[in-house]
Amino acid sequence: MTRAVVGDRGHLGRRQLLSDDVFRALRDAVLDGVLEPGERLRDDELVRWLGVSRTPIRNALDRLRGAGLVELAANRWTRVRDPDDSVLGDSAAVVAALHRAAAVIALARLDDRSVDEVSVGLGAARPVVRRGARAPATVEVLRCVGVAVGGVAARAPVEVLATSFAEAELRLAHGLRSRRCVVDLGVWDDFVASALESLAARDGGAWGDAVGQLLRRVAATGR
Amino acid sequence: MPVPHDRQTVIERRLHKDDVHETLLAAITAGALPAGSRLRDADLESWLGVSRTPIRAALVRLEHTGLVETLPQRWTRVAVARPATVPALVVALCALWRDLVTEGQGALAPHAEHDARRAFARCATTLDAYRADVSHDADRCRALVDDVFACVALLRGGGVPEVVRGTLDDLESRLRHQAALLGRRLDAELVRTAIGEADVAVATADAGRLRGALDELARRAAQSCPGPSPARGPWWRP
Repeated sequence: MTRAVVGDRGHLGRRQLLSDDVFRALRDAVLDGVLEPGERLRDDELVRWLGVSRTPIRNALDRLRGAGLVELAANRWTRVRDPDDSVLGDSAAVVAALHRAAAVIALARLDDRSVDEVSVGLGAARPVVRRGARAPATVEVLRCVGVAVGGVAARAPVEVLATSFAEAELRLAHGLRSRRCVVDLGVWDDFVASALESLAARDGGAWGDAVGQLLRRVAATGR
Repeated sequence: MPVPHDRQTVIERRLHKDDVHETLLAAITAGALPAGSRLRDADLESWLGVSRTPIRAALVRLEHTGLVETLPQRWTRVAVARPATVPALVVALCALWRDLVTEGQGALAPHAEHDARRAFARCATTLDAYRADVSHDADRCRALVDDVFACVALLRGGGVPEVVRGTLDDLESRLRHQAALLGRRLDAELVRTAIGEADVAVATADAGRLRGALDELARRAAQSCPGPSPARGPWWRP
């Protein structure tokens, strides 16, 4: 988003944009590990670090809390969440359920060209997965996997689920990063094999099962 | 005095914004704040007796979930009817509910069968009333949706993990609000089939059959969704 746009908005628009910027900055800091699981977030420190007032920071923290990246005890502390096994497993299950829904809606009616594009996307992710397969998944690996797995959802008319998708996938990404999960190449290849079968059969439920299996196996590599 | 390491859950301090959120949510889903009602900060302050800050925070969250709509600096209102969103919400919730179906738990727990089947029966009665009475669409429709969600609460049971509950609550409130506004457009046959199948599954304590009923509901609801759309950009990182 260019700065020029800011000038065209009214006061409220600018404020909204500021909250979005702060949200993105904090989100990326958490995902990149700049802010570590368990780390306390103090308003005055964030004010100094980000150079904005308390209001956009509180708004951004509210959204991060909604996505489950931070947790807070009222009037006491706010800190980066340190997801345990069950939180990670549940986050994976929610993401898989949303992908199942999108596939049930879209897959039966997706034209051949779109299905081909989804298959090509799955293939394109393999080199990135292969290069990263021996170490905890980086943000780049997760992003690449996310785009490939999201190929069907991106073509489904599910705008109404956009917020749920964004929150659930962000929570899962945070869980996978903070528990140093690995996307193993064999696990990825197994996923692609069953995903391609479900695409060929136009079977949304099977696509959902494949995504669920992939996410469960990746989550299980957590420390 | 030795203090236990995890004090977090001993006394749950409530935040004003969470209370405000809960109150507004309940008022919207109960229909006490009808679709399209303007929500003015001053009115809400005097009604709820809290300051503007928690009210704004709660409204932002409700907007996020799609129960409230705003045009910045113009108005904030309870979300109006958007019937086209209903099928996708149903499909998504079926996908989440099916994961909660566990042998011997929720509505499939031995002691829960009676309550669940009674809730299904009440739903069937409300469904008949809805079909028979075409003159009170809005009330009949809301009553039916309330009864369906009473069944859903029994199906969910008490042990839903927090992470799942967040997404589930958001989508359920949104569906509840939108479905209650469907009036005559509500697909009564779809509801009847799903309730009937779920009743058989609970009576026979058959988890597979209950999942099958949800899958079938999802499959049929998906047919009312609009066709596939052009590909959008990727997910959480622009």
